[in-house]
Amino acid sequence: MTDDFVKDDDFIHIALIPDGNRRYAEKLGKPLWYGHYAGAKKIEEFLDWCLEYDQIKTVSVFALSTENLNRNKQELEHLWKIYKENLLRTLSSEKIRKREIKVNVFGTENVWRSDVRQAARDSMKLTAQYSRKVINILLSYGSKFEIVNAAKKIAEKGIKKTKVVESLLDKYLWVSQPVDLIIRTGDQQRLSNFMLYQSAYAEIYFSKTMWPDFTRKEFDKIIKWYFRQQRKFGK
Amino acid sequence: MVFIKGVPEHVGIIPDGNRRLARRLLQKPWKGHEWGFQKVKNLIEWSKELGIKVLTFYTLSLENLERRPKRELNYLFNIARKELDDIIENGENIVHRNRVKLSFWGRLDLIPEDLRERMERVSDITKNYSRQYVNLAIAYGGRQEILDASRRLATDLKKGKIQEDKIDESLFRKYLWTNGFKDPDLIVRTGGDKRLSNFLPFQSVYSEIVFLDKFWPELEKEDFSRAVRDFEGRERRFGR
Repeated sequence: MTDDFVKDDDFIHIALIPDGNRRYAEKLGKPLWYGHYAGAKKIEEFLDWCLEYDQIKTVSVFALSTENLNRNKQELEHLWKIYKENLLRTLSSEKIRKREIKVNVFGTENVWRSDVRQAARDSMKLTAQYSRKVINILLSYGSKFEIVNAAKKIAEKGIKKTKVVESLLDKYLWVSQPVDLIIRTGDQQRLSNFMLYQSAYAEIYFSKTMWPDFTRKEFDKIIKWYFRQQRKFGK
Repeated sequence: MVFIKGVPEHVGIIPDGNRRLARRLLQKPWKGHEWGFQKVKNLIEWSKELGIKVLTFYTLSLENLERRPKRELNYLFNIARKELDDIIENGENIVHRNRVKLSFWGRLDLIPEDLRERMERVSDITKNYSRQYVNLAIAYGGRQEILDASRRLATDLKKGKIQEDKIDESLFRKYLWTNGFKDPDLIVRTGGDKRLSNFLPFQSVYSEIVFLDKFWPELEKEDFSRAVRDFEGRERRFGR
């Protein structure tokens, strides 16, 4: 079944908060970066699983929050290395090309390590032509900042008409497409400043599993659960 | 990493399930709203006992206002009129006994004028109370709140009331209904659905969330206490 059989509003946008890397490593008696490497691998697997569902068009991954930046330097260096390697891999990925996947990397760029920034730009440039599937990597991202930043830009324009403000806000946000389903792993029940504006009507699934332990089986279960929910949109 | 030992200061509540409970008991859906109003009073009392200072209820969303049948809305408004009149006329109402400051947040211009006037009166009567704070989100939508704030910010910038380089999160928050209040520490949604349905998106970024299956009017003190205890045991990292 190709994407052509799925109607436009049947496409869904999944947001992922992949929490639990560090506790996964601690449980195994390994250093923290071990958990992050395992987590990165799991994200790649997860994106492959998403590709197998025609209805899943967009996936947004919370790779790094603005608050995470306060972590110790060593840990951050490992994280930058992981992001760079994975972004560079998209440049030569057969899958990205064949499945026409647009890769976006959004967040406060000025705090990204410079080689990560370059890899992100290259990846976005290469995949800008694609639109069948979209992967948003949110790096050094915070929902409140995203909103206030957009509001500031609107204020600077001096706009007052509601309709214009709404479409402008969408334009100034990094990701404007509404989220249909949020999956958060790591046994925490909160959204941690991730895409709150976009997720106002999203179904929320909290998983007790630590991210690197997340399985295909659990994912399929969550997707089934999602489709069973009555989508009421606040009515 | 901070373990918050202690009750949440501010709890947000999505009181869902009135209609489904009524249907299950073979009543008209809106009968559930009558029970729902009484449950709000229970929550005020339980919160006082638990030491929770602020409650914000998602009483009526903008979507509810737009899409629910007129009959149901009128029924709801009539119950509201009765309850508000009781606050205005009866010194023994829980609002006075507990010294609860009541606020009404939302597009009140979209609800019947006489109801709005009652709300203004009630806000005025309770404005000097400070033992408990109860905020009722009525004709409220979080995304719209953010858009409204952006518009008013733009207007004030144009008028020179604020400076461009001063626009930050702290200033933006002043334009939200929640100005002056800390964000909800905990959000509880009854009724089984696992969504926030456009309730306080900006303010819930770090809120702990508890989803309960019971319908709102069925909620018992033990259920609420358990949710609060659940919160107390959690480790809050605020994104770190």
